[in-house]
Amino acid sequence: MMTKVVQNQEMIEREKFSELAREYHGEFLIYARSLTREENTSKDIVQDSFVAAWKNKGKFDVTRDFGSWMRGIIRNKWREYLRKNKRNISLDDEVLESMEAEMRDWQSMRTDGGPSVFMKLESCLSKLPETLLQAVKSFYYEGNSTDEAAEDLSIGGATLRKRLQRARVSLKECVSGGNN
Amino acid sequence: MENENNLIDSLLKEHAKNKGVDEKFLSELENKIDAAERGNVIPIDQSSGGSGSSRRGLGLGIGVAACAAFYLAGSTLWKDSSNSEVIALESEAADQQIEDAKNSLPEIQGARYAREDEPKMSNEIKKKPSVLSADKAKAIASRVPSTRDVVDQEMEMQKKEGKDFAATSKDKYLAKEASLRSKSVDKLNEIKGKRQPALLAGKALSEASPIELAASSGFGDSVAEAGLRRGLDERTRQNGMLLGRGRSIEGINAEQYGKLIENDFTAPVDKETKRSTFAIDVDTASYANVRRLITAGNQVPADSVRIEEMINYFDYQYGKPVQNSKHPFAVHVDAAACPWNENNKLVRIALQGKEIIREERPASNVVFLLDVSGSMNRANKLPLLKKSLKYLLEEMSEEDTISIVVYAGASGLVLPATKVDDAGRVMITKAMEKLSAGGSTAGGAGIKLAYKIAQENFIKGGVNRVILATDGDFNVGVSDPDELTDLVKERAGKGVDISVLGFGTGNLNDNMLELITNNGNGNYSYIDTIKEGRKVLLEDMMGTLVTIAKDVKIQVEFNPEKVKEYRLIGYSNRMLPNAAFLDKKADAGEIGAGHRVTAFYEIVPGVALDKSKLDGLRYGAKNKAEVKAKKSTEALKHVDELLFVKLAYKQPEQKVNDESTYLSVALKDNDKAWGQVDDDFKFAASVALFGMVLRDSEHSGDGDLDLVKQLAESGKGADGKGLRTEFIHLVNKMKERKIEKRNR
Repeated sequence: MMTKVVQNQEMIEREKFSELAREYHGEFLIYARSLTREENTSKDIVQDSFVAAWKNKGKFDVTRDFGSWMRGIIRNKWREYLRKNKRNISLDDEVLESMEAEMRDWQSMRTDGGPSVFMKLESCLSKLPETLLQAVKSFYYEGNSTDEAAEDLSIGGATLRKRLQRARVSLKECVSGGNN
Repeated sequence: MENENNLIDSLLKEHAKNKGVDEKFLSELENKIDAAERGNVIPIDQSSGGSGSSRRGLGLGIGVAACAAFYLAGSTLWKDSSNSEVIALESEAADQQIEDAKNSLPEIQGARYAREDEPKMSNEIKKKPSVLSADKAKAIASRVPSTRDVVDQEMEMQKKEGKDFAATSKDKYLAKEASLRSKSVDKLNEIKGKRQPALLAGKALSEASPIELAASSGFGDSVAEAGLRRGLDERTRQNGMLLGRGRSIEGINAEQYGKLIENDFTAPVDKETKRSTFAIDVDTASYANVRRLITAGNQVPADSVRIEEMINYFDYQYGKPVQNSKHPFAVHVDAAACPWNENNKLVRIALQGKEIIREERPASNVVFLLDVSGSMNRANKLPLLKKSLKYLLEEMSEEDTISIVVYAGASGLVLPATKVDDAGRVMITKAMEKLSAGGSTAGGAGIKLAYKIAQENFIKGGVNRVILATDGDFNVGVSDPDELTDLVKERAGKGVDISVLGFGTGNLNDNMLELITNNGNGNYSYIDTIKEGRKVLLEDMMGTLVTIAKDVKIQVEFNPEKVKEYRLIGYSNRMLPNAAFLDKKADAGEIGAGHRVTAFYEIVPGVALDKSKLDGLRYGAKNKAEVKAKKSTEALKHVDELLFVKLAYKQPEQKVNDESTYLSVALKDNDKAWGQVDDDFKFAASVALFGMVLRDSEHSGDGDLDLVKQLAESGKGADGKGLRTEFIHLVNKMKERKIEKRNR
């Protein structure tokens, strides 16, 4: 696709933009998934947001932060989607704000030359207690349903849910919590 | 709620899936940006894809133009919009409209099981502007085309107002109400976009108990209203996305949002909860897709399991509508003990559409819109599509025309409308043979072209239908999905319907395809094998092509003396607000010739009324004696009924503004044992339970795969087509998998 026959300004910008997309898309997908709770919708919304950003790149103030600009677009796309699909879902300000703060934390990890959130997650996972790690592995990484995962680990469904919850709390702390 | 950990949940999922870099996502994104750059103009010529650089030159200009439409987004934007004023939506005219509708439909509208807890109908309410009620929502709903949106907004508004109300005096409230009243309903459209955050304001209310609110307001009516609002709010939550047309919210995080997915048990304690309303769905795609997933040894995401589509996949021998029946379908309602919970009852509502014999099929103008993008280049996609379409071709005659439009990198007309006579048949076959897959997808231009061709060849009084066949990677590219669904809806209004045939990779854009057909008088089938192609395009072809009724809605009214709680199984994204039932503009499901629709309610028998809950209510204990005296003899007459099923539908050619036709069936309470039901009932219940087990439903009671199998075997019947046998194989396969897992 990317034939470099004519190396004009537009092409260079486009490549830069592709790099940005590569760098950020994982985080945006996570962000969108947290809003929409649905994978395909998130994918579409993030892609459409990138397209909108590209179309409107002239409006982007370089002194601002690309991440928060994009997340604004993503939120609007999601609102638009909800409205068009006649969905009645509220976006809770508090939740949005706390998400935004967390996303900024993640992002700062990278801009400080530190690990990206995915690498950080991997190191945090390795610090999880064994029982919690097993639950996370079975449910998230092996794609089991909660019941299957519970069966896998020979524990009750409620116990599994509890463990997953504790794992998430602990991961959240670890991922956002600096170098501990 | 575990909101704070959502991000971690998503992070884990993303990490598990892609380890942070999703190459597929990125390459799709590049295509989308390319498409956006090309703009909305896609040449009707396969060869003019153009080189990357020249397209980009063109794209820049379009990109700049698009800036005008773009609203600047920033991290503070959502805060701004949350401050938007809440404007009341009121209309006397709308009140009158619903009043008229009610008067003309006493049997349909009348509260069959009258209770003391119901506010009397709106005459009284109209005189008292301070009273907010569901009637108002209904009134407004009937006035504005976009019912759901409006009803939802109305509910939010009520919450917001309720909060103000609790905090201020009656007089102040009345003054505000009066000033708001003067504003036109048309204002609604302006504020649509700002409405969402209003919910936040209502939060405080929905959490406070009605009694507390009453204490602070010192005005009795508010208590009843707060209670009602709370009921509505609760119900909204229970129904999941009340009207979600897509399925996106469902399932992905079953752990946290499991409750949102399924319809929960509801106690019929007040006017709202006593009724349950939904749009029918004749789609079958979910079953074929689930079958593919299981057969391939894949996980079955809860998201992909739409129980109603699984049930409706199978043939049932329901009684046909009597000859010369006024209605195009017959309705059957019966009940028996629930097989997975012996204390409960299972109610089946079955619709059987009238058959149309081959000779009587109206002339058809069919436009195939075929996805020939690169991803279709697999044996189970384009080649299968070609083979499957031949079945349809066999059924067509010289009365009919077929056109073929393809879309990929460019879209184009491959075959102009061609009569299906002997010469035409050859041309059509040739055109299909020549199709080959390649290029990226841009469905937007393709679908527009397909509609244009359909319109040009429109057959009045005939079948006019676009049949979209794709692997679901329907990259709209040039236009956003909403624009697309709007287009589909608009064309459906003009008489061109759409059917979607899904191929290949399962769930990829299942949501989108479903959305398209939900909006366009359509049906959505999933074709994974040539056998399935035969079923959809030959055996069920008449149903796929010929619509016999549209906007079919079902409303069930439960007798609270007999029903303690009820739950609709499946249809969770087809739920409608009660008000939509009488709203002729509310879009709902279509039914094709010979189609069957089955819905199950699980019922907890008993008396729903919790007297203590009513004590503080307007029509609670205080007025009971009075109301009892007035209790209509009509209500007494129905006292031995379990429930009352009402249907609304339109003839296929009716317009948005035309009134629906109504019919109704009552079901007497009985104690039928499970063993007494017919095979179809048993089998359909088995499929429903299978869906629940696959979804990991908390309502499956004693039901497990063993019971699914047992029920299916007991209800297998003759099974001429082998579909039920195949189902039992699937269940066995799931069982084996479970055992394997245990042994590992």
